Amino acid sequence: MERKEHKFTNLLGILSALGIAFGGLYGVQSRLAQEEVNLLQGGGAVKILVQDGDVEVLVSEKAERVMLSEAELVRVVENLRSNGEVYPHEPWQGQLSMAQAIEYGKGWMEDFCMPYFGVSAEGMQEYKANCYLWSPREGGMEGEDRNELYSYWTVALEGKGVEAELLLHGESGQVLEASVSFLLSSESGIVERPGTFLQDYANSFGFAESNTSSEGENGVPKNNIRTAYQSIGSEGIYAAMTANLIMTSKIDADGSSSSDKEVFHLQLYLDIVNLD
Amino acid sequence: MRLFTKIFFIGMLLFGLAFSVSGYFLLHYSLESSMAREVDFALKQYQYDKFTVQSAMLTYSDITIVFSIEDSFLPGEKQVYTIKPIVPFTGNFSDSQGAVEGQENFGEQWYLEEKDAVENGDGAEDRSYTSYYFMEQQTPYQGQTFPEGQFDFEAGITHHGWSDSLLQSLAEEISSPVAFFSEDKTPIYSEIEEVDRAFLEGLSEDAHVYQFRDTPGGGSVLVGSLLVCTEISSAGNPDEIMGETTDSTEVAAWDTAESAEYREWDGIGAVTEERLIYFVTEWDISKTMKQQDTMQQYFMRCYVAAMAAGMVLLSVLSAFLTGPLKRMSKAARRMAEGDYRERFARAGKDEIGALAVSFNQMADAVEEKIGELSKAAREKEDFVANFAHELKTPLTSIIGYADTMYQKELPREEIRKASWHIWNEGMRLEALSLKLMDLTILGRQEFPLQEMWAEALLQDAVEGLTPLLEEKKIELRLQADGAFVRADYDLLKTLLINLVDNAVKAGSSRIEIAGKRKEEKYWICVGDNGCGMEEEELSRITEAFYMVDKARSRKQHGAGLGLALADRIARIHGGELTFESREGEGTKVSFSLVCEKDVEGSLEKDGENRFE
Repeated sequence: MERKEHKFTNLLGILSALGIAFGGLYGVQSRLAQEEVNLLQGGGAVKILVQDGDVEVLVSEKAERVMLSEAELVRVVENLRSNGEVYPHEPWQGQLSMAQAIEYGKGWMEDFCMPYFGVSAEGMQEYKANCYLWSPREGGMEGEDRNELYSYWTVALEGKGVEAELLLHGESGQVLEASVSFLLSSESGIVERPGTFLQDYANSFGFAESNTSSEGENGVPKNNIRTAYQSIGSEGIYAAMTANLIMTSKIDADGSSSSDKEVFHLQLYLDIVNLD
Repeated sequence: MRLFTKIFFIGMLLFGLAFSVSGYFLLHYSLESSMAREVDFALKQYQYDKFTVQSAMLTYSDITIVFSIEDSFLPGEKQVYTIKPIVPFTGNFSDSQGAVEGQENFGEQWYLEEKDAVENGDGAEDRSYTSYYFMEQQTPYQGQTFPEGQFDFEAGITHHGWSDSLLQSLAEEISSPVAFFSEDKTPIYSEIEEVDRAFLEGLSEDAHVYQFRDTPGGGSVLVGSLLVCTEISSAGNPDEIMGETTDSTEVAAWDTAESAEYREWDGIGAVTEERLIYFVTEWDISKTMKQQDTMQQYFMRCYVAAMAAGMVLLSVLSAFLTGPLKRMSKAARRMAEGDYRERFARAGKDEIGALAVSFNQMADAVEEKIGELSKAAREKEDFVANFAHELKTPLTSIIGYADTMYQKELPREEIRKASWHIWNEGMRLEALSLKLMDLTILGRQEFPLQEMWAEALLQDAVEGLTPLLEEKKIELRLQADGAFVRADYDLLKTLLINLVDNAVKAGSSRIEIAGKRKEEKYWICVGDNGCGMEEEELSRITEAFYMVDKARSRKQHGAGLGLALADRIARIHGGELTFESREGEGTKVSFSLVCEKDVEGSLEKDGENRFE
């Protein structure tokens, strides 16, 4: 009788152990399933900073623009050249609105870039824009190293015979990079004076006289590509420009070539050299 | 519950608990982090898409045009309107005039075309047309189509909303499924099924709101916010609109192509107003959810495998741990049944090994004790039997002689003879009782040993025995080294007397007593040339009441207690009696005393005085 009771107790103990072990599995599965259901029913909100004032109204008047100091520009360029992850964000207080960014970008094209190369500004009368504001940082840095300093707008403009991708500083609206293509008609021509263009571009930052400039291969275009460099200020920043002409032809079905077009492509960017 | 079951139960409990808890936290944090990552992706993608929408709206608002028509025109006539830009219009309409239907190059013009003409009851055609449509025209950019608009002639206002078709074309540009809702939450364009109205009501301009959704595909995240868009629109009293917008509009020319009659319309108006749009995107998280499911399935398989392995492991472990204990239990049971030779053979170095060693030690001790107790019990039985026998013999003589004297009238000489026998046997009984008393006392009492000069001690003992030995013409020789020993004088003298007495009883003619110092021991040897003993007798010779030759011993008033007493005294002095004997040649009995180290010094100091 006692032996039977022992056997029953032992069997019960082993079954209980198995029950606990596999019950744990069931418990985990059901708990996770419940959490998954709860998560899929949940949600949340992320507050975004909204600028004061009507940000969507186009800027018809160019307000007094905030310009980057040389030290700030150094930090901005260093940050641009580092290949970090960026993310899109709403304009923070003090940054350009989208309308302002488009206006600044369009203004730079119409008033500065296109006239230099003899391209009519009419091409920008009708345009399409795509505009994004990026920041390399998500944290709330303040002071000299504040996040606002490193944000930038990318403004893609498509006009008649003009395509441009500009990188504008988020606060000042200064153009830090540009990739511009002009479709040249037979009447228009490119005024080949990149050195002057770069000089003026460098001076537009408002630092001390930028007097060091050079052109690649002693100014002689190589493979129809012309490069030029221009120092900006005294902290090692320089602007680099590459310009080239591309001839495009449309080949008809019978193999004959027709409607030749020339595309002028301009690449402009800032970089920094270590003066140490 | 068996130990095996207990170990198995606790092991499985711990296994299950450890795997469950660790697995739960692993999967829980994996799920949470995956969801957080997906939300982050969804919010970033939403921000990007929102920029795309806002960019397009900003650009597109430039070409939003509103007509206001003051008068109707004759049905059946082709109406062609050339529309001039409205400030700040920078769109794609040139100043070219007079475009007509059928003309190929009207890409920069908008048409108004009569849609329908209805004849009324009196034969005249009804001129109150209510709806005309813009013809679709391709803009040169991004493949957009001009939106359909509607003229309301009765109101005299053309109201056109740009958003709907723009939003549709934007939705095609955006990779994620999107939905646009008007301010009253009615869908303008939607690629997302069943957007919850409560979700839309929670949207605001200053936050990006997200909500998870359980979809048949596996799940998604809805992200939305309220967009405030600027739209050029018109509404209300056309005169008012005209008044407001006269300065900012250019007059449209109305060209009836066939009559070539030009009429001027001054009803083109533009009013800027804000329009609220709910912009919602859906971010697919089905891959993440499937990954989570896959992880859970892997976890389940691993869990089952681990439990199965755990069961096997615990079974082996339990058997390994309980096996020695089982064997030990069996050994203990056999010991309990009387087999004291049972030992636990296999012993490792762990606790069970130590237990086995202790078990074996215990078994050794038990066996030894049992042996000792058995021996003691046997000795007691023998003692009692011998004692009874030793009492019976003299008592029989005493009773017999006493009975004879009582029953018969005996002559004086016979009475004396019987009385002597009674006295003699009484003396034996007295000697027996005295020696028994001595044995009892020696077993219970502790005797302090004193330092004394061995040679003097032996000399003193010999002098006490000399008269007896001379009477029996036995030669006694003494040869002793000088040394201090630790001894009880009276006991040691008793020991020597007993040994000499035994030698006398053995029929010796010469007895030699020798004292030799060997290192820290002082050996005393009593040798005789008596009858000696057989070798097998030697092991029992110190047992009480044991007599080698009983008849001879009793004749000499021996009780078999002398050597037992002597052995007990030798043990009190830290030694024991050792015998060397050959039958017919004699016997040598030796024992040792503890010897003092400083022999010379002690001798000079007080050696002689000690026994004076």
